[in-house]
Amino acid sequence: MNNFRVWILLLALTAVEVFLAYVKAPLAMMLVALLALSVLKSAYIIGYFMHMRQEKRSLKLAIFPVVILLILALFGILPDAKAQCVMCQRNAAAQNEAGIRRLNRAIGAMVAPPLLMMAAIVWRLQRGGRSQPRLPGSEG
Amino acid sequence: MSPAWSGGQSPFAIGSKKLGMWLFLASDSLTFATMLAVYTFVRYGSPDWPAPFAFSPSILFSTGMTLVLLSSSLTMVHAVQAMHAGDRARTVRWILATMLGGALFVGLHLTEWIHLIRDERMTPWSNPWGAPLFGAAFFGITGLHMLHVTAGVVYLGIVAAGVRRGRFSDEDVEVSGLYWHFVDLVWMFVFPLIYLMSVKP
Repeated sequence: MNNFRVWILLLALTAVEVFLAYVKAPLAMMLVALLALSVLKSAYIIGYFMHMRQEKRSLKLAIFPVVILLILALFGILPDAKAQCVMCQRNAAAQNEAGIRRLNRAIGAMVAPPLLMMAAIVWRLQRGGRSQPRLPGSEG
Repeated sequence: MSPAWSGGQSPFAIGSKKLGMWLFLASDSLTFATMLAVYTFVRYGSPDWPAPFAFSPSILFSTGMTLVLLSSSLTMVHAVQAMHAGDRARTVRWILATMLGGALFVGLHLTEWIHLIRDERMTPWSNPWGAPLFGAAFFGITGLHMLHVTAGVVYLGIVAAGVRRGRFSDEDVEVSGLYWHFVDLVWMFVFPLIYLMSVKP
């Protein structure tokens, strides 16, 4: 399976996806079909273009199970989609643009402190806690 | 103990730069997965999620962008192969081809954005069709991806310049290749979930 053939396959799968988008089917079926095709395309990109096929099994085991598990876990919130978060959003929607702006600003205000804390921690670590470079041959 | 874990060699038998990049890509894929999960959540909870992407220009442009990005991944693979073969000049040319693909992608994407903002009156905080978070979801996800593509083009430029001067190794080119394929990979999910799931019937 050389690189050119992988590329042709990826283009073909893309064409199938675009075609599927115009087929009259229930939304859930479309979603499953598109996701399956996308996962297949990813497998080829990761396996061949990113050379994962030639890497050691230990690397594959280190990367894939955790990432896949965590991505699947993200969708565990879906049952709540018809509940509280939507109520809040609908409320903001009822006030139209101004409401959404306020909602976005509130989200921004809540996101800023953790990001600033992280930036401060990274900056501190990067400085190494010392203000002068270590002289060669000196300790402490 | 199996040889891989008996000590004296790199973990997973790859260089530390490559391992670092794989770990970064694992974390970045979670960032995008989170954005897409939130988009799924909001869309699932909205009864009036619009499907406004007309075949021309939206689906045409986005399909074209997909083909451009896939092709740029192919050119990147050739760049890595050229570097392994020791041909630095050819490597630089393939990296430049990849950068061109990335720049073309961003150009097409911005054109699409301007069309949506100007002609369809869609912005990150309002749209004429309903579901108020539609714009935020669209521009947030595609914008974050576009940022990654732009950063990738800059990154590849630095690698190309370094390869030309003979300062970078095979591993450096491979690592930049991994990043570029990741950007392509993310688009493989963004394109169907954002565009194809909202085609204008």
